[in-house]
Amino acid sequence: MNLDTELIVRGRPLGLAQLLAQDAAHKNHATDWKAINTDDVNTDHCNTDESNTDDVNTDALWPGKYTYVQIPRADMPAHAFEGLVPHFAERVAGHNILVLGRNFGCGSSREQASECLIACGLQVVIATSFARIFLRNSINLGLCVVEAPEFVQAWNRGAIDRNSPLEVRMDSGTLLAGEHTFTFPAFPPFVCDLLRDGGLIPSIRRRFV
Amino acid sequence: MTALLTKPLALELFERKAGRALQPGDIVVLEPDRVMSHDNTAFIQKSFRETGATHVWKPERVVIVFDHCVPAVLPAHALNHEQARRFVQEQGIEHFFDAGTGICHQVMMEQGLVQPGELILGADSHSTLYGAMGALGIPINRTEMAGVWATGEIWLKVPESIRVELTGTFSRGVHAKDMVLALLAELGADGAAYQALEFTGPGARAMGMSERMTLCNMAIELGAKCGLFAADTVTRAFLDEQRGANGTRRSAATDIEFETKKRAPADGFARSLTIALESLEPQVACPHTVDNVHPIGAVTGRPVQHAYLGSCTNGRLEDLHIAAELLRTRTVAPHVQLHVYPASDRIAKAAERDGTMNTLRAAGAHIMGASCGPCFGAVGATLEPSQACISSSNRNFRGRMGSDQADVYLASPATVAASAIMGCLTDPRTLS
Repeated sequence: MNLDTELIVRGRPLGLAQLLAQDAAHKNHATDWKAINTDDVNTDHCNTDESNTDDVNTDALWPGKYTYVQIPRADMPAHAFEGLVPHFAERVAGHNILVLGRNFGCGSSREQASECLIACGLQVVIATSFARIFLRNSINLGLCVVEAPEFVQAWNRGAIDRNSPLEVRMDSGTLLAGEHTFTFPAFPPFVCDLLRDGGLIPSIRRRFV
Repeated sequence: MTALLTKPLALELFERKAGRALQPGDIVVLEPDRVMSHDNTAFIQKSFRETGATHVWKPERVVIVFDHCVPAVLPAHALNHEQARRFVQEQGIEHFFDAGTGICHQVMMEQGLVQPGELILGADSHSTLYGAMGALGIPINRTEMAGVWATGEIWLKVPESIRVELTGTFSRGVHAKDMVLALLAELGADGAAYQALEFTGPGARAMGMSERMTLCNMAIELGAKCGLFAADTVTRAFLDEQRGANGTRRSAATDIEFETKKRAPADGFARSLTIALESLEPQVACPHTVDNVHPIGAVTGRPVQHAYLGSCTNGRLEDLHIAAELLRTRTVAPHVQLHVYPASDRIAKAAERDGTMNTLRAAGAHIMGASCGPCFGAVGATLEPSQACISSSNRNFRGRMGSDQADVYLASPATVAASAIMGCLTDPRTLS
């Protein structure tokens, strides 16, 4: 449809494993999370309960008590990831890419789980794998979802410079991280078109208006 | 028909809907037979208007049920209901069930709005339940539902299938919930991701509709796209019974034949496993993930202050009967709150008629209205940090039912009742 414009997002990723490791360190040393430099935190041993990034459910992203309250997108950052990552919006500020674990977004179908991430300025989420409904919701809201297990592994291992910008090419299924290139299964063109349109609603609007 | 018996049911149903041969991985665009939304209708109608569409594509295929925030405990919940009621009026939606009718999935099944072979899209993750009818019950959410209302179509990827062969019969005190928790232990919370879970074998055919609904309901907890039972004489009997209760018309004819003969083992499954029902013990999903499952013996004695019997997973008449049997000669422990939420008003009335509710009340249970109750932490009792809840519902995520320090254990109605009686996690088999 509009394949003339390739869907490419460039930006600075932030890793959920690193955020959780900060929190674990905070718990252990009773320091303020803001005082901890991400780079100083040793995340080699982040397989503790507190820093497990697998099976993060949508209740953690957007608690049930807000799910049936009409909260404008502009006000969503205050509650984003409230169930797992304190002060998420503040900590993710300046990043547009988030690196996640396996089966991310499992559980409830609540769409605010995807929307609150968009509200925090995220454009791309990269995970080992996504739960099915979260994946669809994200596409429908125009949030680029990338299943790239090798990249996530390399990222968490520290094999990629976490301060370097990342380039995400949705149409070809390519991640460019410094000198490293990773591939992921690209979506069919019509799904990339949905993302290009900014989601399902703008895409349908072209038909009716 | 013979050819149809040799492939996974999900593939067969997708092919019927698409009208052509398909393979797992193919993408199809289909028109759903029904679409269901609940309290989230208020949000969906906003997005719907943003599409530029003015009328839902087929109002007779749209079903709206209020169940999540019933009663509305916040003005915001009441606002959702009012906006949705206005939308129902404006769009001429006949299948509207206001607060108190029951939990959306139960209402769909009772009202004959799910028929074998149909494609049902629900804006709720537990829409996998419709697979109990031999229908493709596929969960979506708000924006996608707005799109379907506007266009009457959805794109779907044809799933691979996992075959779960059930043999034998449950031993006393063990139920369908225990079986699906055992399956979660085996496969994990993403063990059926993007796939269809097909329940088959003599153990599956012997199950009643209530048990089938429990299994298909929980399919989403394994990440499945849908859960499925082949429609058979049990399915037909359920449909006839509900048709009688509805005093209605035979609903839209379906071309699916109810299978009375044994379904041949099919090729083409991504994975097959067998569960011998008689070998199962009561199971408990421990905090804070659905697949942190242990046999009851591993956790017996842990104190609980709250017990929740209800939800789309286990709030049916059969579930209330199981609990009442244990509570008939016993009472709920002091310091324990047992809250019972029947899955529908029809179930509540049946349980009043047959004395089940009186038994539960006499034992000290609080009988609540037909709704989702405290399952997702917005309405009903909420837990404080020191508390633990034994629940017949479907999710025990950290913080889901209140404090993020509280513990939620998932189990069968029998284990919920036994634990409420003893005030701690209890093997129901030790009480009878």
